Amino acid sequence: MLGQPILQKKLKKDKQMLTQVIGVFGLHPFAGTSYVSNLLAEYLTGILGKRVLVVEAGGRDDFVKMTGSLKEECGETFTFRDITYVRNVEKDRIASWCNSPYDYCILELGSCYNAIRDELMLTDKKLLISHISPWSGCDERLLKELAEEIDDFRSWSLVLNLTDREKYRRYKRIVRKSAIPSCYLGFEPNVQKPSAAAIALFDRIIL
Amino acid sequence: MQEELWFGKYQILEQLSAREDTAVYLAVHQKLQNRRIIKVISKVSPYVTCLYQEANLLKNLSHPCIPELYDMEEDENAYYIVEQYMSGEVLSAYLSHEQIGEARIISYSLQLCDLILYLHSLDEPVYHLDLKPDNILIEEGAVRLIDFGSAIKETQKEGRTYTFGTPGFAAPEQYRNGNLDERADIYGIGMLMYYMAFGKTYLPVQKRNIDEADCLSRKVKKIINHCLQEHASERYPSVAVLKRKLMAIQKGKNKKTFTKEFKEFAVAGSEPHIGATHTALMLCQHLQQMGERCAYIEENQHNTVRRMVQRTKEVKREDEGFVFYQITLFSSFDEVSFEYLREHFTAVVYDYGVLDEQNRKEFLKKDVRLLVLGAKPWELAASEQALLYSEGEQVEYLFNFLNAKEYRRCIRNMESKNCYRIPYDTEPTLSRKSATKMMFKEVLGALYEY
Repeated sequence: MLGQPILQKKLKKDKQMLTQVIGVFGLHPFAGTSYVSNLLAEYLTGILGKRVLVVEAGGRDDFVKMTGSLKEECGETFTFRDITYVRNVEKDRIASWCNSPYDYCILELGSCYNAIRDELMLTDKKLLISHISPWSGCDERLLKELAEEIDDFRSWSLVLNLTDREKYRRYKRIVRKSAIPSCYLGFEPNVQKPSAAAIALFDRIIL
Repeated sequence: MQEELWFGKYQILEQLSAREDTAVYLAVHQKLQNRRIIKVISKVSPYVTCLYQEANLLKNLSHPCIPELYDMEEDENAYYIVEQYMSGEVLSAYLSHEQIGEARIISYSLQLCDLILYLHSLDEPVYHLDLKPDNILIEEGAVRLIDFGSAIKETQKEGRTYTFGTPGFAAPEQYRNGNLDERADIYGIGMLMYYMAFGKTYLPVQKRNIDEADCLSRKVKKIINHCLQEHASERYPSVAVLKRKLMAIQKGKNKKTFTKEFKEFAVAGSEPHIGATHTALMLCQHLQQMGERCAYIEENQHNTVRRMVQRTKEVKREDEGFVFYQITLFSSFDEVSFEYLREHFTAVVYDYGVLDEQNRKEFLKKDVRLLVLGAKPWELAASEQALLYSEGEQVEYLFNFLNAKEYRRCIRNMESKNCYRIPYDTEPTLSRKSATKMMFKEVLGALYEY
């Protein structure tokens, strides 16, 4: 992928020296925040060749299981496939991890808005994750509340997880009301290998 | 034959075959008085790596019906591998003087499935890729598999640059140097079944021969046709599935047709958010398309129906329950009697949420039980627990959030169980995807005449 001329051009433009912090927040529980965070981390390391830190502040300790690292004793941090993970970080320590010497810091914030509101607002890019089905999905009221607090819409993205184009079209009317730029992510069976569609989506969001 | 001893220990009895660069000899170990097969290949042959590969494969195999590798030698001109002599008659010679009926075809096919399943279930799966009558030995009803010259490990298949297999018996993707997996061997098994039934090689134009033959039952014809599909994606996904189909015929289990007017289906998952409710609603839609009057009963505390009522305009209140795209929904709060269900519906789907000790008995009482499982690393523990709850019962296992490749890898260890893959489908009740329909046809195929 790094051999592609267009991608190389984009990488050359990247002159950021400070750590870019990406906040990943789920609009409801089990939206797929850990999965998308991991997929994004794989994209940043594998495709863009960046150094990535994933800080888990959602309280679920999913990354240990997701990376299969349960086999060994894991301390507060562990590394898997060139990605460094920090487990179960408390609110008051998030800032110190986000200032670590990495190119990108992915902050996985769970789904409890009131608890992590400030941390989410301070991130450079915000990814809101939701999954829509007839019985669950993005809380329109929460979306509206978020939209009212947003100054810079360009740093926000609403990602509809496990959605295809047809379904996205049907629900676009709901998500458009919030004015947050939205997109959809289909079925990604392999969390360690983002598909071409996922790569294109992350290109749009990150670059 | 020759008096001289090869390598100081083997006396050659006869030459079994000879080609330009290769030869196969029957020998006897002088001291042990055991027969051996010695394969010789010239050092200048372009297929020298085949011999090494065969030796590398055989050294890790341990099965009574697969030859054991004893030794490897070389001299200035050639390489030699010494392997176990397996007695028996090659299938082609055996069929020239024996007429075998359907029962024996199934018996031999099952033994072959066991052998191939053994190869596919190794830590590094091995694909034989040269299943043909000359590589099958029959002795007193037992099937043995020889000649691993074309076999490869799954991890080595990318590096291969030459074609392999025998023309007329190899799967189509072997000719095209296409993506190889266990389904190439499934084609080989189908080919051998055809050969046992008709005594000749199968050609795609002869599909009609299978369909119109009187010597085979409809079920066996269907199995052979399914194995011999040109595209791997249309064959059985694994040898375990093929074996299960053959065992069902052998045990005399006919397709059970539902004679009951009222059927109960139970759906449960190994953990929350694994897709049990989604699957239950897809099942409702499928049953409705089959002409059933279907109801969905929420037998868990997830409040799915109530949330659907709040979120979705398409859910409408009825006298009893709610209706969502012609499927009647009953929430856990609705008290609906069994007599009412029997009177108004022909199929009822109970959604038990997560299978646990409390709901296990009710789940297993129903006519058809579907258990939704995950196979991702973080889902395995819950899936294993759910498998324990359903141990020894007739349950259909549906794997969610897996692509086809992961699914085939996962079911290698689920040999005797009925396993299916839920195709990715975003819409539980508006699905038009044929893959979803096919999956339910497969799951319910034993119960409905399609």
